[in-house]
Parts: sequence; C-alpha cells; structure tokens
Amino acid sequence: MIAIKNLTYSINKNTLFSGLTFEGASGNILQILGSNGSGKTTLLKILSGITEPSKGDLEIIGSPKKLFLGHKIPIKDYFTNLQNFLSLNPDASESNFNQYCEQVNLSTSKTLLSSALSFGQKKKLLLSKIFLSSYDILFLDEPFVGLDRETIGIIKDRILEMKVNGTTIFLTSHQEVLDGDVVINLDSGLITK
Amino acid sequence: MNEFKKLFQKTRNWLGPILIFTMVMIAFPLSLNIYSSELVSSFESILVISLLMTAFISTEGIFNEDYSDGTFEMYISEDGSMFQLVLEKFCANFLMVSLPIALVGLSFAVANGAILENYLSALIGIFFVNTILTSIFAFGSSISLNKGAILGIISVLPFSMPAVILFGRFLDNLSLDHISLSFLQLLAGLSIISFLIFAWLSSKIIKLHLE
Amino acid sequence: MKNLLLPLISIKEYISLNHKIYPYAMILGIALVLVGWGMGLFFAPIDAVQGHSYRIIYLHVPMAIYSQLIYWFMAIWSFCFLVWKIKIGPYMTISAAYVGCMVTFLALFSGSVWGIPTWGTWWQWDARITSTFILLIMYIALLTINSSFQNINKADQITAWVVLVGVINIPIIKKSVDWWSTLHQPASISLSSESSIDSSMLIPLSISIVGVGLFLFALGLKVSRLMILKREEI
Repeated sequence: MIAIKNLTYSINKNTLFSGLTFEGASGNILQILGSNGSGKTTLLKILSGITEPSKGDLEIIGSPKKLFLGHKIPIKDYFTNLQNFLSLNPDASESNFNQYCEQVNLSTSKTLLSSALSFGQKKKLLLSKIFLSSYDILFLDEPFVGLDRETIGIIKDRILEMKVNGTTIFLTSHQEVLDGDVVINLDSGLITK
Repeated sequence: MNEFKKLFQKTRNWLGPILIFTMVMIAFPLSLNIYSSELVSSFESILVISLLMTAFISTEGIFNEDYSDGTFEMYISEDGSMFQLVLEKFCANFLMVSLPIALVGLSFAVANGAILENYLSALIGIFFVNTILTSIFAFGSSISLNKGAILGIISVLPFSMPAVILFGRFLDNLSLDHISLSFLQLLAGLSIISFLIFAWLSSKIIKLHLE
Repeated sequence: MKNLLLPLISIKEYISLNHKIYPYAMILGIALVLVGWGMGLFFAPIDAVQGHSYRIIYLHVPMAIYSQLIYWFMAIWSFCFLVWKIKIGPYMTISAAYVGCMVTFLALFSGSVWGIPTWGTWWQWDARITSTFILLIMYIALLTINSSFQNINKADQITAWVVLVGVINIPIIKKSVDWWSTLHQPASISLSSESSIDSSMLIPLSISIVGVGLFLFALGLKVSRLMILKREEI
C-alpha cells in the first residue's frame, strides 16, 4: 500500500532522520516512536503528503483514502457541536451525532458552542471522523493525548477494528501503545517487526 | 458552502470591514471640514483610501485560523484541493464583504453629490476594483501566515498600486461620463484574472507554509 | 555544453568560477566607469537647455536601466529554481535583490537631485518616478520576505514566487513614460531606434552603462559568494 525508501528530512542543514526504509501493507499498524523533536510528526506529515521529504522515495499504490489527524484540533469555537460534527463528517446526520456521543461518552448538547468544550471533549469530537468513515491509510499523531482511560480503550478498539478491515495505520507516540506490526524508532533508527 | 458558513458565523470578520469602510467615509469629511463643493472632488480620494483599508482588514488573517488549528493539514491529507478551498474563501469574502462595500460606496457617492452619470457602472467598477484589491491583499495574507500582517502589506503593496491607479482613471472617466463598456470589460477581466491567479498563488504559498 | 552549464548548476563549480571572474569584472567595471564618467564630466559638451546639470545622466541612466534589468535577472533565476530546482537559483535571486535595491535607490536619489534644477522639484508623483518607487518597495519586500522565515528552503521558494508575480510591474515601469503624460522625459536611448542625444554625450553614456553593468555584476558575484559561504558553511 505504501512504500518508503531512503527517506531523509533536513531543515537548514540539520537532519532529523535519514535513510528510513519500510513498507506499510494493508491492515498493518506501524508505530513511530521517539523522543521530543525526533521528527515523529514530520515523518507522519511526509507520509500523508503534507510535507515533501528532502530526499528519498515515497510510493503509494493506487489512490487510497487517507486521513491525517495531528496535534491540532480543527474544531471551530464559533460553530455548535453539531455544526462541527457535520463539518467534519459531511455525510453524517444529527442522529449519527447522538449515536457517536453515546458511544464515546461525550456528554454535551448539539446546540452548545464548541468553545465550551474541554480539550479532551474537542478531541473526542474530532475522532468522530475515524468512527463514521473508513479510510485506507490513517495517520494519527499522538491520538490518545488528552483522553480519559475509557475513551482510549474505545479508540484502541476502533483502531484494531479498522486494522481488521484492511486500513494501514500509522501512529506516533513516546512509547508503544498498541500491539503493532512494525515499530519505527526514530531515536535509535531501528525498524522492528 | 462551508466557507460561507464559517465566515457568516464570524460576524466580526465580515461586518467589521463594512463598518470600518462606513466609518472612514463619514469621518473624512467631518474631520477635515471639507466644504460640500470640495467634497465632490475629494470624494474619489476618500473612496480609494477606504477601499484599500477595508481590503486589507477583510483579508488579514483570512487563512490564519485554518492554518493554526490544523484544518489545512487535515484537508490536504484527504487529497483536498487547496486551490478550491482558497477559491471558496475568496468567494465568501467577495459576496459578504466586497459586494456590500460596493453598495455602501455607491450610497456615499450619491450622498456626497458626486456627479456620476451612470450609477450602475460606478457600482460595477467599485465591486471589481475591490475584488482585485482583496485578491492582492489575501495573497499578502498567505505570505505572512503567522508572521504578522506587516510582512503581508509590504509584500503586496507594490501590486496594489497599479490597481489603485486603474481605479483612479476609472473614477475620473466616470465623473466625465467617459465610461465605455470596454473599460468595464477590462475591469471585469482583470478582476477575474487576479481572483484566479492570486487564489492559485495563495494555495501554493500556504502549502509551502505547511511543509 | 554540459561544462558550460555546470557552474550554473553546481555550487562548488560556481564558487570556483566566481573566484576567477570577480577580480577582472571589478577592475574592468571600475575602469570603464572612470573612463565614462571622466569623459562625461570633463569632455562632453554642455547641454543647450540644462547646462551642466544634465551630467548626472552618467549616474542616473545606468542605475535606472539596471534597476529593471536586475529584476528580470531575478525572475529568470526564480523560474529556474522553481521549475528545475537549480540550487544556485536562490543565491542569484537574493544577491541580485540586494544589488537591485541599492541601484533603484540610487536611481531615485540621482533623479531627485536632477529634478531640482530641471523641474524645480525633487519629487513628483508622476508615472515613472512612482513606478520606480514601487520597484524599490518590491526589492525591500523581497528581502524582508526572505529573511522572515527560519526554514531557508521555504523562504527561498516563497521569495521566488513573489518575484515572478512582481514581474508584471516591470513593463509598466518601462512603458510608463509612453502610456501616461508625465513630467519625466521619454527614453533618450533605445535599442530599436536612433538615439535622441548627440554622440558626444552618447559615447560616454554608453561606456558608463557598460562599466556600471560590469561593476554591479562584480558586486553581485561578491554578494552571492558571501551568501553561499554563509549558508553552505564551505
């Protein structure tokens, strides 16, 4: 599905990582580990097509449906919760919103402005994208930050469900959080399976 | 449609420039104590300055929110067309800011006794010039993403000067009833070209910022 | 052919060629400028209308010509950088921007000095002067943009795009004296038609133009070399 060969990224002569080579097959979970500033988010952005690498090849077979969810939360404070939900999921309806809120324990009103939500609640709202749509490749940058233990469990179950359905999932973290197929450690440069 | 909804919800972003334009148009003659006979001739200068200011204010930070909250990143990862998104933002801005400003500008032209033989031409001309100026300043806004508005102004001020000169000629000809259909067609063509080109350029620059 | 193009593509080759050309360009440029200005100041006849004040053309006209030519130079290199990713592109563009900024300022300054005895004013918002002033702002803007980003590659790409957009202003500046009725006189010398000034004035002017061009070229070589040494840490 996605193949990386000799990937290198530098900013102003400072090399973040170099010579990375790995493949992400359908239904694989690839975890990218590393300390702060090691380039986890940058690597994820390169893989999702947001950033161009300095050197190396990135080959994506076909036209897979991709999604990148980063640190930032694209929830608009001036929209209501329902408006944000429908903006993130154009094919969804109001009943989907109610169902989703129940599923992830998001106790909020659909007519409330999202400015009233906490960081964790906004993140739950954002993660509705992975529940309501299916993707071929998913890029999640520290997806569990700001979430309570129960919600983390729900998200992990959903990720495993997507893995079974054939989605290739890349996620970053400071330590291993899932039983992944491939672990890419940017500090040591090791890629283990 | 999403961009229209977003702009509509942010009342300050579309109503603010219209109010500022109105305020400047009122403040100039009041503060400078211009006699009504002089007002007719100085009205054109006031209009140009007001349009410049509101074009800048309406586009300042047009891309900042989506850049800083990760909307652009998410959109690009889903293989969305940045050019299309920027075009939508431009369209929302033109319909909700530029068109009302053109109407307000025309109202002040009438109120100040400006001798305009053809009010429809005046409305069309103000709208198209505002479109050109707004496109240019939006491009400046894309350059200065998260860098402060001054960088954007410095970057695009040289491009806005030809538009200002063109507008001045338009107003001169309008007051003498020398506006021909071809002049309006020229304005229309330039506004469409600048609209598309600056939208495309802005999308390129935003993608560079995201890298 | 490949050997000829190599210094324009490879940074190391360019530095080597730069070292070789710079002294000759600088010496020849200064020599021609001194000859041209010497002839213009001491041997060219007095103008029938303007008297001695016209002699500033030996500074003003070369500066005015190169203020626009340098922008074209920048546009070509920006295009090469964006399309073919030629690494030397940004160095050429930015070093030319520094030189262009200085040249445009000198063109405006010398024009203002000339304006006092000729028009009775040092400044007039006419088409040519205003458009040249806009050109100066463009150069300043480009340098500001390039120094505003920590990521050098991003800075170079954004600068290159803005250079290309700004190209539209150059024909407007060139044609401003023809399209609008301005205080500024039309071009006295032209590549396509006969010059309107006498050969006794034209010869020193031509020598000055070539000399100033070589001097600015040498200056550009120096600035680009310093930029490369700083960025590439050679």
